[in-house]
Amino acid sequence: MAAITIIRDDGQAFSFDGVVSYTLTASVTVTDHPIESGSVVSDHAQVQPKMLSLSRAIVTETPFSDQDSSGGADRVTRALEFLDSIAGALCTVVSERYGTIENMAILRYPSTADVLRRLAFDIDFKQVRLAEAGLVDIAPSTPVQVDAGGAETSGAAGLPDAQDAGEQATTPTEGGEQDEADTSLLLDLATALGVEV
Amino acid sequence: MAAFLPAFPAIPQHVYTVTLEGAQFRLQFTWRRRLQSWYVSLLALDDTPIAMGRRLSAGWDPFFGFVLEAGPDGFFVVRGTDGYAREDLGASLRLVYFTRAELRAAIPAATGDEVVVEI
Repeated sequence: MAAITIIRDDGQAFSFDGVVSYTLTASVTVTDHPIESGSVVSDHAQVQPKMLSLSRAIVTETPFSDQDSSGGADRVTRALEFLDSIAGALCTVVSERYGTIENMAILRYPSTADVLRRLAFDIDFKQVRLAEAGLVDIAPSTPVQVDAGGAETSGAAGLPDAQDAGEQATTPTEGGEQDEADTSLLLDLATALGVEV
Repeated sequence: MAAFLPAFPAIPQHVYTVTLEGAQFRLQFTWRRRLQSWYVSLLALDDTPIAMGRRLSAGWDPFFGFVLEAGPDGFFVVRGTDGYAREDLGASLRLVYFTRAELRAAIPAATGDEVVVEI
């Protein structure tokens, strides 16, 4: 029987009387993309969080004397309450073979009661990776660049590539109906959009 | 009087300095072949962007609806027809500038025949 201790984030710990076996699963998922020829290609691999499974973790009313938990008729109840308290929180699992594994979240902890005064748990943990959100500055968009033929080019910087025609003068319009039509159009737009002229 | 803005259709991306109502601005024109359209950007004299990448659409002010605090006081309008070609800029497709005073002067005067409705 191996010794397993679960430590809550507030420092409180619980040790099982013994665990028959426990398994640490480390896995990597390699992506698959089907292609026309019928095979698949992969472009990257994802390292999956570690999983720890305890098989037959025993809690009795009479633990071994060298364990940090006192015995008593309510020890089995306290074990259930402790596991309930770490549901949805992160904890640390200390084992003999794998040492200390932090940031573990309990996934399931079904228990079996039998004629003996004990509970046998099968517990699954999953290691949680924590990430921090950050702000990234994104540069403002720059005007599109085109070559002499009018084709858009990529990777060019902004305004400096435009051909500078220097200082230019405006030319008065001919006036008349076309100006009236334009002013009428602008006034209609201003009215429609609520822009004060 | 309203004024035509100069254009250089042979140069697919050009920029120039122009004086509008006593203030100087930079206008950049870009022909985008994929979209078959001219786009105009308005910049301050030091090339600080004021309004960027607006399509020249006939019968419309490319900067309308923007609050151009650093821009000119008047209004632009694109004169021509849509479905234009690159070489039409400056010919059948022209950017025209109207001062605010010109627009105000074009507001129809009240005739006295209006009916006031109070809601």
